[in-house]
Amino acid sequence: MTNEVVAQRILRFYPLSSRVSRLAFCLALFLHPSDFPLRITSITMARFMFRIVLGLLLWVVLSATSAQSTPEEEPVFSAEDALSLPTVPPPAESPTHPATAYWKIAVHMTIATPVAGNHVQMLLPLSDGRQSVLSRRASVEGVTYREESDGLNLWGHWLVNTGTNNTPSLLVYEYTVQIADARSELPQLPLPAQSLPEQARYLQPSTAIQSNTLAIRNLSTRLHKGETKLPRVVRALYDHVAALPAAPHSEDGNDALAVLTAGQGGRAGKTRALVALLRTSGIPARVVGGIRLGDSAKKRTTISWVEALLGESWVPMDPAGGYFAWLPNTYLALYRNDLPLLVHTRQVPVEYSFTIRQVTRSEALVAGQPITPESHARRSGVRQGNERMYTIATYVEHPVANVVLVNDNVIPPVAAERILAEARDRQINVALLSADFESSSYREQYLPSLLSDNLTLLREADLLVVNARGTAGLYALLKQGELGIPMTNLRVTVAGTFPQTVGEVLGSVIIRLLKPQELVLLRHEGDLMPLWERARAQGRANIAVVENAQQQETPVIVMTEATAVQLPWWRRQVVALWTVAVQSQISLPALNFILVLPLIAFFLVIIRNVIGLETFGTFSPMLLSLAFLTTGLGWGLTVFAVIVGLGTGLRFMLQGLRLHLVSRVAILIAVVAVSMVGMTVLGAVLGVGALSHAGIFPMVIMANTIENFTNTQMERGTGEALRLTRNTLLVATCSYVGIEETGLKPLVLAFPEVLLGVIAIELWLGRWRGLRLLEYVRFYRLAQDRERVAIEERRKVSAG
Amino acid sequence: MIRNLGFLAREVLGINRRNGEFMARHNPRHLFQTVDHKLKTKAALLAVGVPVAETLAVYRFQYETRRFAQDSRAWGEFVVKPAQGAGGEGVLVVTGYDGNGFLTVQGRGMPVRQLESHLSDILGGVFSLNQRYDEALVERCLHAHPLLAGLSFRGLPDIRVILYRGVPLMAMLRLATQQSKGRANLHAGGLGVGVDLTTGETVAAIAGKRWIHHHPDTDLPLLGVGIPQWSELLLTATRCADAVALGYLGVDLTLDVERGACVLELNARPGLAIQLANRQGLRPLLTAVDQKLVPGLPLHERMQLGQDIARLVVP
Repeated sequence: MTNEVVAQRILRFYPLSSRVSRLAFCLALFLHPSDFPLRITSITMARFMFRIVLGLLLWVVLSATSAQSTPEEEPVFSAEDALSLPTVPPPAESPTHPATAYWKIAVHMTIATPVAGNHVQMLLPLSDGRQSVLSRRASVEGVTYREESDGLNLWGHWLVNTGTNNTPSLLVYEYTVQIADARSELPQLPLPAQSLPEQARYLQPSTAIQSNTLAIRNLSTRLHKGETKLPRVVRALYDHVAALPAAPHSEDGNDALAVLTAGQGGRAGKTRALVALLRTSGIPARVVGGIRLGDSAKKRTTISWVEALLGESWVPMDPAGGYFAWLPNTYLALYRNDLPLLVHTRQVPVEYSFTIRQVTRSEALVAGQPITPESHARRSGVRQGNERMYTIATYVEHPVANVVLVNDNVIPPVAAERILAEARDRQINVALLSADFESSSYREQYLPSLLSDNLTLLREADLLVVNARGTAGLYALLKQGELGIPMTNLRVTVAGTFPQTVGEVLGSVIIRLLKPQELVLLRHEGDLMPLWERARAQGRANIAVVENAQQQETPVIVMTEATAVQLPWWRRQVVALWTVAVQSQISLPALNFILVLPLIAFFLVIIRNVIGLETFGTFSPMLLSLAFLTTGLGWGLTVFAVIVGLGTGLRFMLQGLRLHLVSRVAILIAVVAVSMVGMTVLGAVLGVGALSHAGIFPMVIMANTIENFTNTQMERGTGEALRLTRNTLLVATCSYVGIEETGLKPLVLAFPEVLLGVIAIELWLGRWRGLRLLEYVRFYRLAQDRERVAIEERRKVSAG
Repeated sequence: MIRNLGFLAREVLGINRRNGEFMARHNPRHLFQTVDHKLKTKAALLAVGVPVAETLAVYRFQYETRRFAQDSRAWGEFVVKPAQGAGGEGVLVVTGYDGNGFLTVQGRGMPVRQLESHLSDILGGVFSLNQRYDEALVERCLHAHPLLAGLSFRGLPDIRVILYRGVPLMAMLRLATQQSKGRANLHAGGLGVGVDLTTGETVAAIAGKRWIHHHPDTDLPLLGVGIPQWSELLLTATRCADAVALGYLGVDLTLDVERGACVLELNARPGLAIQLANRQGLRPLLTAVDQKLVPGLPLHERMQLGQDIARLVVP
């Protein structure tokens, strides 16, 4: 009886809908009865396993397709009758011109019977795209106060130093904030939303947000109505939750499942319900806690709303208040995630209240001048991705200019203090934004968010100075273009180490996208001070940057919309192409990465065919150098050494087992995968961004390198294997240095036709038949020998 | 210095030129499978009357391995090889049977069961580099002529001859050393000894990158040694060109005590170190063949042409 017959019989007696019979059917199709008296040799065993895998694969495919066609027999969330879909009230329209409001808020906390060691901690607001904290001040009498960031939220800690003989102790925290009611753009992305690994926690279920339950999953599937565009799905989910009738607060019915089942809920419940629905749909979402300002001068209740990650930005929505993709400037966010606002020592009652007052702009800026000189500046550190970012600012009463300085290095405190002091002397408002980056690719990735997180600052600024190595500054501005943020009133200065021609092309793209008043490109490296001096002079005396730069004899390009037109015809087409690309949300750094690959291949051709170094394969060195470009050279080499070292050790242990190549490589891939995950976690724990991106290393290439290494080692000896490894790394390093350090990378973006030249050279090199450089070295003794023989013969002749 | 570099550029054949000019033009890709599969090579060679090591048995399917214990009684000494193996992996040299199991050349005992599983591994493609199912062949053991065997430190010495369009150009005797562990491959640490095509006398020797006079392990002189039955060896090598239509070909052969010249292997991508072992670049020889070769030249005249060219070009 062949396996097909068995399969047909199974099919006759059991319908395919049953899970068990489906499995039996699939396995029967592939398993042969003669396989069963298994001779345990590796060959038959492997064949057997292969068939089982085939069967399981078919089973998975069948299950997936039948799950779509036939309904599962599991309980279905009681649908329409329990959760009626009422008509949705239209959400409040967002204003077309964002209005900015300034608020002064004081939090008073009273500890009734303070004892030394009592402890209170409270969540404090941070600046984000909507709101800017202009100043903050904590009362520090009788307590030790410190601020601590957990990466997402800022906590203030108060520790009572001395027991103050039963008189209640009053803790005060004051801050001034500026809030804009800007509307978020909804990117037209397809569903499922793509999310980075670090956002995985915004997809996880929790006790109050039961996004993993079948009921919620079914509901969200039903609400999607087959939509595939992200904004529409989000809107559908929002509309559903917003339409639920409000219910009185009840402690037990406040989780997502209860609200969705009951079809009614309070504000917190609705928030959690929407978060649960979003997470079930694969859209990262989180609860935001904050206070609503403006309706009363004193309050102590916080409210919560939702933020969903669409594309690269967190879009706010408040289903209870009826706001979608925008919030009025009365919403102050205090924290992200479901957290208690206040944590204090047990059994020590703490009373607290917010005192809220709306102030004018000038009042707010005066309030930004706190009493103690140390707190002139606010300094808050927030981790974004793996990078630590800082903002420091100072505000004066009647500013003559608003300057935002962006730096890709943490500014040393001395320099920062000097800049702030000078700014105050000259009546200039200054905000310093800075962050540390581990490699150029992180710089390009995260510097843009340093800008977009501080949009409120940028809106008010007259002058923006971006100082970053390489082309990161240009990319950061391009990214703002991608987000569609015009900067019409801004004069922008970008300093970096890019070739002038590259600056002209990318600068034209920026001008087309952001339409700033003026764009100044400076070739400049490192220190922020000269740039600040230039900015100061400009703000103070209104000297145009050009003249000022000419005094300082720095190469400068000044661009306006007029100069962008003066580019040659072909260059204008490239500019137009990249403009369209950026407008369609394509990231230019990513494009640049693709364009760099042919250059790396070119280096490889040179090193292999002209110099004559032998490497492990052709692709290994190329992909390795791509990985190095992401992680930076030092960490790249470390990751490579660790993974290849571990793998090779294991490979030698496997040698005695005489496994098939395929299973051997599969085992190696498992080892490589595990060590990559290990390094990623380790990197995240230690805060080493490059390490936590170990996943960028092409896994297959690593496994292949290990395999090649051992094969070479066995066939041609350890020395040879090490030599090949060294050459492979050498090629990778050379292309890294050649591309990263020489500015070739932005060059291909600005002049894609360079690749034509590369192809031409490669055509010529492909037909070149001469000796490789190392062959000259290898055979040189032949020539020496010939010379010696010739001399001897001449001597003989003359003697004879 | 400049003159030396110019000399190298004119005379020495490099990888770029070998691949781009000679292999691309004269070695069509589809013929590679003949030289990469030992059984196909042997069949092709036997068809034109080139002697090869006698095949005792071929195993193609798993069930045939059960026959092995019975088959092997008649053989005595033999070698087990994968048909598509590379780098000498999976090769097992058996010198006898002691009642419990086989004795390998390393002097280790090996039970029949273990040898059967070795065969099974070969069939499963464990040793074949392209990972396909492979075949296992058993060959009679070859014994090198005592004069050659005496030069080598263990292992089977062989002679590599480079043929271009059927004309022998250069020859090199390859010897095993202690470092190379019985293998005669140059990059494994074996010695390359250049051989004069006309006289069959050794002219120069290299170990790695050094020129040497004496074998590093046995201290025997390597230069000026006449290789026995040289014209028979060279003729056999030249005849290989009739078996495969590869224009640029390396032939590995040895001199067996009983059967005389015997071809071991053909190579479609022979290495370039032979130029160092002969103190002579290949390019003048290749050019001379292109100038002087008349198509359809018979075997003996091709060999004669090769020797003439060598005499003319080498000073």
